[in-house]
Order: sequence, then structure tokens, then C-alpha cells
Amino acid sequence: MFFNHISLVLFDSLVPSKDIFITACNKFFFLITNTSSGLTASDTFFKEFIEDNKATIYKICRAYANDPEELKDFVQEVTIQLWRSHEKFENRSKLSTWVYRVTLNVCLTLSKKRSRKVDTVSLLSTDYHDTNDETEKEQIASLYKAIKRLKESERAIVLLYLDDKSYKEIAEILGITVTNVGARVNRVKNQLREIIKSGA
Amino acid sequence: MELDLIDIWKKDTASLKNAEINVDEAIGKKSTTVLAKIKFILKIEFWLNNLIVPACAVWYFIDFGVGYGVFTFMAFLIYFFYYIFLIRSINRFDYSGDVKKSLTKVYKYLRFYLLHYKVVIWVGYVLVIWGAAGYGFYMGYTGQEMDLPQNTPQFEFTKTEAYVVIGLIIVVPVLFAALLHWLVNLIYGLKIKKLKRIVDDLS
Repeated sequence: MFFNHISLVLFDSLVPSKDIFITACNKFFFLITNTSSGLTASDTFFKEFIEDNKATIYKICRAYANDPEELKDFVQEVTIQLWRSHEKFENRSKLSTWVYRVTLNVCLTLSKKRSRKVDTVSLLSTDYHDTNDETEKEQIASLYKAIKRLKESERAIVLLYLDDKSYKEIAEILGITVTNVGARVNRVKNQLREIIKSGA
Repeated sequence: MELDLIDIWKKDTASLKNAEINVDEAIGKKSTTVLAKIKFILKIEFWLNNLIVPACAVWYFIDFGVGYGVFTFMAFLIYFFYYIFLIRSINRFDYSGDVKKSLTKVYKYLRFYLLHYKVVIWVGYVLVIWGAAGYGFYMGYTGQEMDLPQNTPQFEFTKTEAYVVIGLIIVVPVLFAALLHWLVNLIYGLKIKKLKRIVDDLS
């Protein structure tokens, strides 16, 4: 027992790619147990979870991406990071709070990669709108255009505000105080209003 | 105005119900973040260190003596744990936590790693080679080496040839170190600079 413990401690500290090793072992175990669905309970849960939250993920990614190709990369990266950390999720916060936090953090770090010209029109044209209402589409496009004029950190605030999140939830997601949220939401709302008014 | 914006936003949410995320495809792909790229290079270095350096240690042990073998093996062990430390630091980075704090921490570790690399390059490939080659050249030119049976020069250089050799001893290691410095900057430096920009922007 003692030596087992020692070997586990050594294994944990010495093998940097132990996660890959464990995944490989799980896959091997899965193969020999011959389960037909090809999914573990965790995989199924994760797929359902992504399905439930895809609109949130898409909306946030679209607010940070500059073109459809970048949008695809952002959504993919968010999915990878959610997959990597979903087992670390501790029920200290709500699942939705966790999704917002991971998605926003990934977008905030990825959007520094490239500073290309923003192509809002093609971003929205490749979307999945089931409406033919042109006015509605234009309204959505102009809202996104206005959001993209904001600084990246301000975009995070406005996205959460538009999603009807309480100040407490916004504070929890962004890791700032509730008072700070109040001040920043008001400032960003005014900025957004001015941008839309000016039609820029 | 405020209600309008929220209303438009909600319409967009409804419109995204047909959006698709292929989970299997996404999680089967590699992450494209700067940290993932640095981790990939570190893993390559880690395995090269594991394969090449112990083999060199054995070779030095057999051909050059115990001291060289032990020294090389010690260097291998130090780097073995250092790579593990760096890779684990990157693995621990989690987007659901305090990104600014943890990214700053990882950035500092990687910046030190880059700095150490540059110091090792300039000390190892310039100062040590200058010292060793200069001493060897001096011994060979003057023949003033105690182990030699005769106090005679081992090679006959004209003054011009001597200047050329001295010049090469000075210039070649500098050029080689500069090349390695550039390579390390290309592999790590640019990525670490990107990381710095991300950390600054998050601030």
C-alpha cells in the first residue's frame, strides 16, 4: 500500500503528460469493455451541456471575432477549454456562470492574436438566422457593430448586461466588485448608446 | 433604448438556436492558444533532454571520466525537473479561474526560462569557448604546457595566421551564439511577448 502510494505520488509529480496517459488508459478500458455508444457518461453530459449553451458561446465569440473564420476558431477553442476544465468544475458557482467566465476569458486572450479589420456583415451573413426579417437582421448587425467599437473588457460587461445578468452575477463572472460593476455598466451603456446614435 | 437593445439581443439568441458545435471534432483538435504552443515546444525539449543527455552522460562517463559523466547527468536531472515544473505550470492554467493572476504567474516562469536560455547561450558558447580556445591556442603557440616533454611550440604560425586564428576564435562563437539567440527568440521569445501583451491588456 505504502509503495503504491509512493509510486502514485512519483507518477503524479514526474509524468507531465499523465492526463494523456490516463485518457489513453480510459480509452483502452473502454475498448475492452466493448460499450457500443462510444461515449462515456461524462461525454454525453458534456455534449448536452454544449448544446444547451451554444447560443451563449456563439454570441460572446461573435462579439470578439473579426470574421467568420476567426469565429469558428474561437468557438472551437472555447469548446476545447470547456472540455478540459469541465471535470475541474466545482459546484461553487452556477454552471452558466462558469460557461460565461471560460468563454469570455478565452475570447479576451484570443482576440489579442490578430487585429484585422472587423467584418460584421460577413460574420452575421454566415449565421444561423431562421428569420427573413431584414429589419431584425439589420438591428442585430448594428448592435454587434456598436459592441465591437467598445474596448474588449467593456464588451464583456455589455454582453453580460444584455444577457440580463444581475450585478452580482456579473461581478462573479468578471471577478470584480458589485459596486465596480454598477459604475462600469452605466458607463458602458452610455458609450453604446452614443455609438448607436452616431450611427458609426 | 435600453429595453430595445436587450430585446434585439434576445432575438439574436433565438436566431442562434440552429447554430452547431461539433464537439467531437472540436475536442479532437489541438488548442491554438499561445500557451498550448509553448507547452508543445517544451514537451519536445523535455523528451529530447530525456533521450539525448543521459546517453551523452554515459558516453562521457566511459570516454572522458567519472566527473564529466556525473556532471552531465546532474545537468540532465536539473533540466528534467525544470521542464516538468514548467509543463505542469502551464497545465494548471485554467480559463475558469483568475486568468490575469495565473497568466502573469506562468508568464514570469517562462520569461525566466527564456532569460536563462540566453544566459546559457552566451556564457556556454562564447565565454567558455573563448576561455577554452584561447587557453588551448596559447598552449599550442607557446608550448608552455607542463605536461609536454619539450617546451616547444606545437604549431608554427606566422603572425598573420595567428591573428586570423584569434579572430576566428573571437568571431565564430559570437556568430554561433547570435544564431542560437535568434533561434530561441523565434521559438520562445515571440510567443512570450504575445503572452506579455495579453497580460498587459488584461490589466
